[in-house]
Amino acid sequence: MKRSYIIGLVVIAISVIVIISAIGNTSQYVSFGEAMNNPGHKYHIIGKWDRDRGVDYDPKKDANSFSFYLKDSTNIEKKVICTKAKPAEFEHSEKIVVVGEMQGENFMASDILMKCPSKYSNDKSKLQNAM
Amino acid sequence: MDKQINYIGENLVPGNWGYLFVVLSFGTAILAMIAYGIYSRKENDSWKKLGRIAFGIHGASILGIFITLFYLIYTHQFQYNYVWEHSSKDLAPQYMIACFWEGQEGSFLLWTFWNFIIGAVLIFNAKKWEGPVLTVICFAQVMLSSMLLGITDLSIFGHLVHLPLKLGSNPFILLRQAFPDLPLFDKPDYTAALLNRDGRGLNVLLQNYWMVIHPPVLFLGFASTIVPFAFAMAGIYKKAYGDWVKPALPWALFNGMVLGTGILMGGAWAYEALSFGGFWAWDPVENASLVPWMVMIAGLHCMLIFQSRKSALSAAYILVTLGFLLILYSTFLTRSGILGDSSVHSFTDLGLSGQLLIFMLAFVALALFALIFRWKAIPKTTVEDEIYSREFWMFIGALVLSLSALHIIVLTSIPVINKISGFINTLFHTGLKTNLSKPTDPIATYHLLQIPFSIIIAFLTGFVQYFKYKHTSGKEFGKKVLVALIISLPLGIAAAWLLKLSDYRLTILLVASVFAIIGNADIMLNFIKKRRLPAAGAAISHIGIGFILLGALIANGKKQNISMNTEHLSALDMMNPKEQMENKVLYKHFPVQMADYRVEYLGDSTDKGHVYYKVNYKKINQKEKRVEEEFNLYPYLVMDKARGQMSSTSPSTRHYLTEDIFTHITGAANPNDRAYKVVYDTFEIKKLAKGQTVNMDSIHITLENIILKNDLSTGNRNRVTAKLIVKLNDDPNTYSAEPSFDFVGNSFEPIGPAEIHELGLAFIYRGIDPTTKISEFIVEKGNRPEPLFIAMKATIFPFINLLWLGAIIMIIGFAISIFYRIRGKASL
Repeated sequence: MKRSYIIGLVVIAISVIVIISAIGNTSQYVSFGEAMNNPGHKYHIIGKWDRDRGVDYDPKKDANSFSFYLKDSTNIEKKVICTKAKPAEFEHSEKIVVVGEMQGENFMASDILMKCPSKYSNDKSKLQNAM
Repeated sequence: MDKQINYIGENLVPGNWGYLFVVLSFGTAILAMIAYGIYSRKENDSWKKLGRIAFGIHGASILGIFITLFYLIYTHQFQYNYVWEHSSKDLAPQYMIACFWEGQEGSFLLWTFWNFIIGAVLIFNAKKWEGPVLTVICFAQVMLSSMLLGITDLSIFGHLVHLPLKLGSNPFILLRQAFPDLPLFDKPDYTAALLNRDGRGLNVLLQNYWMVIHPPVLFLGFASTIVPFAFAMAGIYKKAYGDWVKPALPWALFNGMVLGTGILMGGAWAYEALSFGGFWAWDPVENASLVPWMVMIAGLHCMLIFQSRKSALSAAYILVTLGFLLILYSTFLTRSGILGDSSVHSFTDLGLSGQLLIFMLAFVALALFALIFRWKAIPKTTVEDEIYSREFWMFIGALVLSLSALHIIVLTSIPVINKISGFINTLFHTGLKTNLSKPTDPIATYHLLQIPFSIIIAFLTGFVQYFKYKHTSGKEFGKKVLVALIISLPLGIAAAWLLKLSDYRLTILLVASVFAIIGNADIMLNFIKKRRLPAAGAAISHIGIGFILLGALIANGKKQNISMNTEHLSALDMMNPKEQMENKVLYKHFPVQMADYRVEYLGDSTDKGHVYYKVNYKKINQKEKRVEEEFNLYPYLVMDKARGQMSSTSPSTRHYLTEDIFTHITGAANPNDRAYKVVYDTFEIKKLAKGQTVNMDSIHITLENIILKNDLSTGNRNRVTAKLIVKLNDDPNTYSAEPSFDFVGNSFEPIGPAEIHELGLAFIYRGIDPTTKISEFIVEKGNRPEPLFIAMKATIFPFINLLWLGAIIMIIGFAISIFYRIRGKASL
C-alpha cells in the first residue's frame, strides 16, 4: 500500500476520534425534572432567577458561595447553591445557565453563566427614561 | 406609520451624504466586480481601467462613510442613532474612534476598509493576477458593503417579488427612525431637547486602550485571509494551477502575522482588563479567530512545500480555501447570536443572521464549484515524499495542526449542531433533536487533546528544519537532532522539577517547547553565521511559538491562588474543596497574610461610575522586620447608575519580570447600605486643654495639638484646627480627627463635624477660651457601623512574560519571512 493512503487512513481515524471525543465530552441542557431523576449527573440548566426571592450572598460569612432560586423552562423552581463568588453582573442577568447536579432538594452549581441584556436591548426604555 | 411633522434642527445633510456614500460603495463594488470579472476573461485593458476606477470610487466612498460618521460622533449629533448608541460627550478622541467598531455596522465598515486597502495594494503589484484576484475581493466587498444598506422589506419589481429579508443596517438612521413611537418625536424641535442629553456612550468595559488598537489589527487579519484564497481561485480560473503560490506566499505570511497578533492581543486584553482571570478561556469568540489562523498556517506550510517540491498543492488549495471560509463561519458564529448561552461575550443580533449566512454560503458555493470542477486538473505528485525529507514532516505538521483545529471548531460549534439537528427535525420529523451544551469542564476537555497536539507540533517545529528538502541522510539528521535533544531534555526536565510541575503531560510539553526553542535557535544561528539572516524568519517565528507554549503552560499550569480562604470553611467548602475557596474577605484596615504578602484594603474612591479599591501589598522580611517591597493595586467595579449596583469588574495586576500578581474584586460592601451608615443619636460636650486626655466609656480622646492659620483669602478670618487622637480599649489602632472653627471678629463659627466613621464618632470644635486656653468640643456619638470590606481573588501567574516575549519573537520572525519572500520575488 502506498504511504499516502496509510497517512490518509490515519488522518481519517484520528478525525473520527477527535470528533467523538469532542461530542462525547459535551453536556446537555435539561430541566430540573430530568436532573432530579439522574442525581450525580452534571447538567446545564437554563432558567430565570426568581427575583422576588432574592439572592443570598454574604461574603463576610462565606465569600465563596451564594444561593438563589431558579425557575427553569418547565416552570420548576429549585434552590441553586453556587460555589463561587457572586458575579458582578448577576442582578443584570435575564437568563442564567447553571452547571452542576442535584443534591437532595438543591442544585449544586459549580459554574454559572449569565446572559445579560447587552447594553442595546433595553435601549427603548432607557431612552424613554432619559428624556 | 409616517408622522407628518416638519422637524427642525435635525441637520440631515451629513446623514444624507453618509447614506449616499453607503449606496455608492455598494454600487461601485458591484461595478468593479463585473468589470474585473470581464477583464479576467477578455484581458481587455478598458475593462481593467473601468474596474480600477470603480474600485477607486468604492474606496473613496468608504472613506466618505468613515469621515461622515466620525464628524457626527465628534460633533455629538445625538439625533443620529449610531452616535447616540455608541458615543457620549465626555469621550476622549481615541475612544471616539473606538466607537466605530463597538457597533456591528462600524466593524463591517472597518473590514470593508481593510479589504479596500488590500485590494489597492494588489492593483499595484498583482500584475497578471489583478483581474481574477480583484474579482474575488470585489465579491467580498459587495457582500460586506451590503451590510450597511439598511433595507427592510426588500421588494423587487414593485411588489411582485417580496422578500422578508433585512438587508444590512444603516449607520446613518436617526434616533426617531430607530424608535418611531416615542412621544418625544411628536415635537418638531425635539433636537433642542437632545442638546442637553448625552449618548449611551461607549461600554465602560471597552474604554481601554486595547479597544483602540485590537479591533483594527484583528480585522486586518480577518481581511487579509481573503488574499491567499483569491489567488487560489485565480489559479483555478486561469488554469495556472500552481503559479499563484509564489505571489500569494508573502500574503499568507502577512495574514499569519497579523491575525496571530490580533489573537494574542485579544488574550492580552482579556488578561489585563477582563475578569475571567487568564489570557485564554477557550471562549467561542477566541476560538473563532484561532481556528482559521491554525488552518491558514497549515495552508501556508503546504504552499511552502509546493514552492520547493511541487507537491502538496491540492492540500494547499483545500486549506487556504477552508481558512477563508472559516473566517466567514466565525463571523457568522459571533454575530448571528447563535452562540447565545455558550459565550461570556454578549452579542447584539442586528437581525442580519440570514444575510451573514448568505454571505458565507455564497463563498462556499464559489469555492466548491471551483474546486470540484477543476479537481482533476490540479497537478498531483505521483512520487512519494521521502520520509527523510523536510516536506514530508512539514506536511505531517500541517495535518496535525488541522486536526487540532478540527477539535476546537467541533466544540465551538455545539450550538450550531443543535440548530441543525432541530432544523432537520422540523423538516423530516426525525424525532432527533440534540440539546447539547458545552462540556461541564470545558478547560479539561480542550486540554485532553490540545496538549498532545501541542506536544507533537512543538517537537515537529524543533526537528523539521534539520531535514533538507527532498532527502537527508539519516545519519546526518540524527547527529544534529541528537545534540539539540541532549541539550533540551535535561534542561526541560530540570525546569519542570524546579517548577514542581506535577502534570506529566505539561512536563512533556515543556520539554517539547524547550526542544523547539533550542532546535530553531541552532538553525537561526547557522543562518546568521552564513550571513543569511533573512532566511531565518521561519526559525525565528518557531522560536516564538516555542516561547508562547512555554509561557502558556507554566503560567497556566503553575498559577497560584494566594487568596485561598482557609480559615472559615463552611460545610459547603468541605464538599467542594477544589476551586471553591478562591475568594477572601478583607475588612478595611485589617491586613491579611497571602503567601509572601501582607494585603490590606485601604479604602475606595469613585470616578465616573468606577469604584476603585486601593489594595496595598507589603512583602515583609521577617528576620529584619522591614518592608522589602510595597505596592498598591486598584482593581475596580463599575457601578450601574440606574440601580446603584455593581455591574462589572476589572482586575489590576502588578507585573514583575518573572511573575504577575493579579488582583480581582469579587464582592464589596455597598456603602449606601444602612449597616455601613452611622446615625448620631447622643452627644456630650467635652472640654480639653492641649495635651489633655478625656475618657468617654472605653474611648480615650487626646487633644494633641492646636493649629492656627490666619490670613485666609476672605480677610480677617482665622481658622483654628484641633488635632484629636482617639484610642479604644479593645482596638490596637489609633484614630484621628481634625475639627476646626473660624474666628471672625469676636465670634466663633464652627466648621462642620469631623467624622471618624468607623467608630461612629464626630467632633465639632465650638471654640477656645482665650484666658484658660481650654477648647470645647461637641462629641457626637452614634452606632458603630459595620466595617467596610471587599472580597477579592489574588492569583500569581509565573513566567507569563515568556508568552508575550514569544509573541513578539513570532511577529518578528513573520516579518523577516515576508521581507525574504518579497525580495525573492523581486530578484526574479
